Amino acid sequence: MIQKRGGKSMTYMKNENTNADPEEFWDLGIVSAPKGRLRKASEAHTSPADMEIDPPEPAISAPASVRKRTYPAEEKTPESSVRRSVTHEKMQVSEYVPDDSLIHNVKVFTWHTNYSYYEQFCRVAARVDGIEGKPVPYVPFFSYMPQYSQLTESQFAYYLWMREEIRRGRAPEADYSYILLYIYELINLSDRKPVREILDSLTDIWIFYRGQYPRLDVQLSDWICDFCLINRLRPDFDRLNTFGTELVRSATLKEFYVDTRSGGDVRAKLLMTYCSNYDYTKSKFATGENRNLYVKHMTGVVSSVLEGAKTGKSPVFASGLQDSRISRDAYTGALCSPKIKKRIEIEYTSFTHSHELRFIITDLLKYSENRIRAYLGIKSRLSCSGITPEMKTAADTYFDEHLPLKSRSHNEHEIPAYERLYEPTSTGLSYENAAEIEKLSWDTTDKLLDAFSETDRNDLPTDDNVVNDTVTIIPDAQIFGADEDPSETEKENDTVFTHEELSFLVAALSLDVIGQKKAAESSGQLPDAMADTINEKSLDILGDMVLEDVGGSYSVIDDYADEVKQWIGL
Amino acid sequence: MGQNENTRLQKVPKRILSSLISSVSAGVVPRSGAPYIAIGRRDEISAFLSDLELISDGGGSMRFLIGRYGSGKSFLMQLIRGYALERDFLTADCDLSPERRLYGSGGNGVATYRELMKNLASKSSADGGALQKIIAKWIFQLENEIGEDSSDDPSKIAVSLEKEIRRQLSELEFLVGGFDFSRVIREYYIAVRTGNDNVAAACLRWLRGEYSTKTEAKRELGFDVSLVIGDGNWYDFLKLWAALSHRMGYRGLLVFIDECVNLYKIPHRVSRENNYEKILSMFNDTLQGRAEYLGIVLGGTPQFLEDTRRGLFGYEALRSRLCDSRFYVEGCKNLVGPVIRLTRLSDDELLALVVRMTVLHGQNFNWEPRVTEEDQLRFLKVCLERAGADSMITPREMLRDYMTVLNILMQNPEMKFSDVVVGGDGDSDKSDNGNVSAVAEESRFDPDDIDF
Repeated sequence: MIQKRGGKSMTYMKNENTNADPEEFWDLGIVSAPKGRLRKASEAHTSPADMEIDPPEPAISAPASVRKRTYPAEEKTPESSVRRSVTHEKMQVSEYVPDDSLIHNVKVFTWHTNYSYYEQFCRVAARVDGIEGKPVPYVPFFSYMPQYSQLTESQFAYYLWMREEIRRGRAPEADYSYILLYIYELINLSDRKPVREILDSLTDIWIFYRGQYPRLDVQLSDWICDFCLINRLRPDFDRLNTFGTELVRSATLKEFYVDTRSGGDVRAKLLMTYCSNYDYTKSKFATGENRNLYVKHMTGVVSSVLEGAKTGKSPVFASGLQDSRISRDAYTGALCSPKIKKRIEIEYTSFTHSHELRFIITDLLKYSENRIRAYLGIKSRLSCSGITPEMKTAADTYFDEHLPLKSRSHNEHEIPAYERLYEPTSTGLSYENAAEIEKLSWDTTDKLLDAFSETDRNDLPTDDNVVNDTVTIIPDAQIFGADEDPSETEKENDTVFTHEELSFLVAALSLDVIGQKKAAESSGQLPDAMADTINEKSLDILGDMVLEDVGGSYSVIDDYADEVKQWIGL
Repeated sequence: MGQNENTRLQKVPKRILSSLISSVSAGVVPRSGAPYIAIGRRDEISAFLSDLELISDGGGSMRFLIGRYGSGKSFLMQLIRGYALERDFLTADCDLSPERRLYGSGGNGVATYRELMKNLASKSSADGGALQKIIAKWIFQLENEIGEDSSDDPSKIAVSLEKEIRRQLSELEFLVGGFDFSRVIREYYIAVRTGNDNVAAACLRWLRGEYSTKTEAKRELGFDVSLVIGDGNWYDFLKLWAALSHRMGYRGLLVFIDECVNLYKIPHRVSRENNYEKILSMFNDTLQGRAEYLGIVLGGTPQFLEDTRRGLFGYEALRSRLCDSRFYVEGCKNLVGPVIRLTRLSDDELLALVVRMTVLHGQNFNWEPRVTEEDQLRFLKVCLERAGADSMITPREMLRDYMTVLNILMQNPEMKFSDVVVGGDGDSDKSDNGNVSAVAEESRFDPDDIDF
């Protein structure tokens, strides 16, 4: 390994170098700086140096006399001149107030740094501007920062042809680098060519190639904005409005692209898109056949309110809009000479940064959606408690004219068709009919009360299988009404209570929990089961239960206490 | 009234009659005694009774009882419920609400199941809370059967009993959740026999769906269960109960779910349709024989059924199953289909109801109501003359008003019917619109009358 240091060569020995002194290998004095000798500061400077490199000659070159446009003669700087970047105070170049724009004031300053490495590009651009391109085959080209010096001969020829086609209003096949090169050319010729023509060309490029290169939206939106602000131009809204809301989507200064001279729709859409927290397009009701209704009337109401603000008929945005100020470097990211590059200070009315306006628009949109939902008969509503009465009135005025609600009386009288299936049949009023119905209803009552069919009666215990120590209960006439015929109930209600069950009833009368348990256990049952059995039997006798659960034990229902006492012989 | 009717009336048990009068006076559906005021509705009742025959034979049924508020849906449900209980069915009923639905991920579904289990009723526990009793009774029945066949050795009886329980429950194990269901009932029996109240209570809690996690259930039960009854499976356990009810000796399980309009009111479409999907599942199971011994009755309003946006008819699978045939003739009754539409009682039926209540009131309070046929007719006319009464009048309101009149007459022997009820004869002053309560001002208590 060889290193030059202070003019002295040092050789670091590898194993194969046998002539060197091995001891020198460990000598650190070789690598350290010599003492006592200060090194002189290097006189070499690092400022950029211009190098003249002529672009290749095109395969077909136009005669020098052919010129499409006339420009001032280019200035040739002395060769081998070396320029240094110099920082200086920025100087205001111009200040003006644009017409009919949200931009209030524009100040243009010179660029604070004077660099020279793009000067050659400018000179070449001026030279080739007048060259007419001829049809040549497509040649691909790629560069991150395309310049003429990077082009080969064939690429340059294709570039000229592409540029020619664009000038003629056509969009030939072009790589992105070609397009950037043309844009840079246009920007850097803004002091040599009519600025309106340059703007037209930039607009053409944007329109022709934005579909193929979406990134153009990001770059050209800002560069065209800078170009217009510097040169006091108004963008070509007639052509750019075809972009719709996408026009401003990528722009940094969205307010620049708001065409205040146009109808309310464009501005309305911009406000709805960029100055609202509510996106009505995502409403679950704005689908299908309702979608067009939503689009039409949501845009319509905002446009109407904006128009009203213009003519003073509706209150609105005056308090909502706020002024903002920004400073921006023109042509950021573009190849630009310092003579063209500027610093711009802008004062404008901001709707993207206006929080109050954002809330106003949001409430307006929500209120408008509620009106549309009311028209469609949808009951759910959005909450928009912050809407001002003036805004509400303005919205109501629009909807009353364009989308009036259906009359309430119509809604109230609209009874669903199926309701008539539930209307009573009209039979008039007759006591005889009612008496007949009442009499016949006893059949229904009997059917409902008749708990036993013939089959069931056969399952009732007969005298043969009755245990000797059971008691037969014959219900007393006093159980029912005064005119009771006991014999009839006797026939139907002969039932057998076992002694254990009677013991259980005795314990239930006195709420004796232990007695109930004993009685149940003596027959091998749980108290619940025994109570169940007793109740079933009493249902046969009385038509009702006699025991009720009182939380852990059973008690005789007061209404039947007398009957139970009779059963147990008390 | 004729002697025949008096004879029939004398069979009304005192407690039931008292409860009936109290319920009607309060304007609520009587829990007991409903058959005694079952006026009209003969065809609807016959349709339900035939369903009960089908269920007791091992089939399933599902009915949608649809009618406006106050048309008598809940009354008819209570009527059928009482009849089913008398016929040895088990019944379970609940009202849906915002907290109780058929499907819900936050416990709304199992809340319905818990309410049903709380209201599980049998013939001898008609007011509900029969879960514990029916299990106890069943075990006692098995013990009796085994005791007859085997010797009196209690230990042998216990072993045989456990075998028998296992055998009977094993038939349920092929159903969803059947294995754990059988295990818990078996363990409940063992816990009761050994006096382990904690485990017995835990088993009952599991059967009522009161555990939300398996861990909690396992900790309290003392044994592993593979699932707990929750939102996703409570209906499967309802089918298990229906199957078990038959093995217990009952004819089947009848489930009444009222106030289904609460499903219609669910604002979220997906949630609402999940509930409707549950209804569809129940419908398919019962009518395709996959839910033995199970009958389900859903009560709801016309909007719940027929609204094509949010009702059952808005859910195509149910609409195609429940809607009327294209040959349906309006005005004709068709009670064979799953939907029973209840219209308001006719004017004559309302009058018949008034007549019946007069007699029952007199029977309950042991007095002779001073009400003639003309008075009853006039009362009804007064009720029907109110604005909107032709479509809005309900038996509930009318009977409540009539009970008020009878109570006034009973407590004020000097008053006549015409003093209480003004209007209805065309000549009376209609300035108060025949308002019954306005005339009662004369007999209203005035604190100034107190003589200290």
